[in-house]
Amino acid sequence: MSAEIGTGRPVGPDLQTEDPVRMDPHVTAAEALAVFQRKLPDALAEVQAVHHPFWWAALDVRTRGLFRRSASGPVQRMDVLVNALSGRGMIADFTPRGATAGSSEWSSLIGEQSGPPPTRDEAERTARSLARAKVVKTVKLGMGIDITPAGGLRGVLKPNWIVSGGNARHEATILVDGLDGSHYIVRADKAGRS
Amino acid sequence: MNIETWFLVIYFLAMAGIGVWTLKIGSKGSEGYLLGGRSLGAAVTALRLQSSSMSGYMFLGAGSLAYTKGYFSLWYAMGDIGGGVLNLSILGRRMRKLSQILGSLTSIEYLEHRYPSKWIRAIAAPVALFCIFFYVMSQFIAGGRGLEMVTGIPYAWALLIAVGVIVFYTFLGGYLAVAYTDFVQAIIMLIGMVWILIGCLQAVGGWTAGNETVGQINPNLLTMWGPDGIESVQWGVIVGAVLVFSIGYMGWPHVNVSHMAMKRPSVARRASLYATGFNLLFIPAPYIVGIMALILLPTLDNPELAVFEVADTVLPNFAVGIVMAGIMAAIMSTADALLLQSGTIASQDLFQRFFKKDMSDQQSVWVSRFTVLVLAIIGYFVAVNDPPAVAEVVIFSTTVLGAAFVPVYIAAAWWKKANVPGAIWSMIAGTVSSVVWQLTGLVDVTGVDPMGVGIVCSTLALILVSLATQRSHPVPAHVLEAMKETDKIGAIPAHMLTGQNDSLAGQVPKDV
Repeated sequence: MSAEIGTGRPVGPDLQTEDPVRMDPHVTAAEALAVFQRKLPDALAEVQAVHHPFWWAALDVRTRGLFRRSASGPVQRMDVLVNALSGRGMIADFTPRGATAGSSEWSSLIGEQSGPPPTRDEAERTARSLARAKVVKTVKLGMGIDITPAGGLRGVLKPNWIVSGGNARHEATILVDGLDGSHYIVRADKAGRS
Repeated sequence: MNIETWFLVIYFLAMAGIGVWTLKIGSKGSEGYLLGGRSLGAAVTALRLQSSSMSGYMFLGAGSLAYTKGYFSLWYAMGDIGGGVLNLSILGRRMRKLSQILGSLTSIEYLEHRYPSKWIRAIAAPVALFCIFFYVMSQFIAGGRGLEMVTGIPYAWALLIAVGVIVFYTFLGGYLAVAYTDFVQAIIMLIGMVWILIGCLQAVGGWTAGNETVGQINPNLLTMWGPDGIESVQWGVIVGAVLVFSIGYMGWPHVNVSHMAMKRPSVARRASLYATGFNLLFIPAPYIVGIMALILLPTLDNPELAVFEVADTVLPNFAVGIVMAGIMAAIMSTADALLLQSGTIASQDLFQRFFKKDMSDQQSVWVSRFTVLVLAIIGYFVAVNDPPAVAEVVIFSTTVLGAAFVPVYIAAAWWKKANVPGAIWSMIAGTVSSVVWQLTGLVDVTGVDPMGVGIVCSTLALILVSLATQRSHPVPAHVLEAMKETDKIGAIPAHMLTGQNDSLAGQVPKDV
């Protein structure tokens, strides 16, 4: 039921990471299948575990008053994940935890990308600007915001499920998020057409 | 062109402008066109709900009722004031959450998802479409008559202009255009009405002095029992006015769709505060103005014109223009919501569901727009050739809507045992009983309102049939799970959402 998809090209040293974190899914295979069967009642389907590479930036955010030079107040820790293939970022409401994966697995997933993936610098910039955008919404106009990285970028392999199957009328493949159970329809056809 | 007409022209242009603006900012696809991308905040939700449910009745009917029955008319005001708040409190949060979990885009589709059977939609959609079409036609006629009264242009042209403006912005921006124009129209209605009230009370020397003068005309007018005193009170009518009118809103699909378009389920709480504020300021005003019109215009031929004639008497010309814009706003905000809803039902609930299932999102939006246009053209020709009486059409169509749908909407959100056969028989019983009660003249014989009879019949049918068929037709597990989630306060867990998470598109492995 579990397999890795991705046999990519070798990647440059800038995109290598040591000891990427392989997260365990919070959503079980049975739950992923239930999501699929809610879309296609009575469907038979197979579930396959996959992982997607993300850059993980842990950032410490402090705010300071308009007339103060140094930051004050408690430090807010933000975990930002940046998609290592598309460059899109998201603020995680969890700290990534899991077993250490081999760097070869990371490289193979990164190598899947046909175009150039975002560089480390770009990923870092994305993470910082996302964190800033989030904090700006909650502070008074004119307050300063200090963002300092709490360590370098680290690789994270985020779990997802690929569910493929069908019922008498339709066949489909969907991607189920391994952390929150939301889904994306990759393909849907009438039975026998694909 | 007189100054009143100028105000109307500016008003029409502003509404059309909002339509064009929402076309630019509106999101694409069915969820964007039909529900504004579920993006509306508390103020827009509340005022849209109130303005679309009130119609021209508040400026014409309410004043007329107060002019002829005095403070007795406030029983109706009480029903009106409670209606919006009850609707938001009872259905708002739950309907928003359940509709998103079940992935419903229209209020009829929501019923089919909650009671999973194609018969639910096959019965609900034609009933709703039929009633809403007549209701929207009555608003066309009222809009045409209003425009004719102010500008003096012939009725046929006035009607064409009123219909044209409504269709223009509904056609362009869909739900978002309707929601934002309704929001602006609610504010114009409020300003217009409060202005008349202040001018009217100044003219009669204040509320106390006005009441004393009304008391000299007939002291019974100052009581809640009507001009003939407590001996002649029809308690059935009073109960009907307060309860039935206030809960009737919950059965109107074009009003309930507001709940589904809220940004978050929690918006309902704040929206009910806004709705209460709006209702308390707006609703008593036409009734009080109608009563004071007895002093200012004692020999009025047509009581329906009481509010307008008072405005014409006590306000300067430019203010009359704003008030007229308010009246048109009341009519148009109801008409556009109805028109959009009837287009939606025809395209999504009938065409796509039963004839062309594989219709794309964009095709569905275009079918919706085309339907709005066709319905408007038919409505125009019926309204211009042989216009029926506005009040009769409104009362008939809203009565049937309320009787058919109030129990199924409430039970959908609250009663876990409500099942498919119960819902089907409830809609049939509500529709048939209210139509028969109205057409056979039983209203005059018994003195009981057909909506009251319809709601009692549909409620009993829902409860009895649901309980009797629990074993043969159990409520599906996924609906029960969704209802259990709806009981909770807080965000919907991602795995329960029927709609897909587009941000996962970037995580699809290349080989898949």
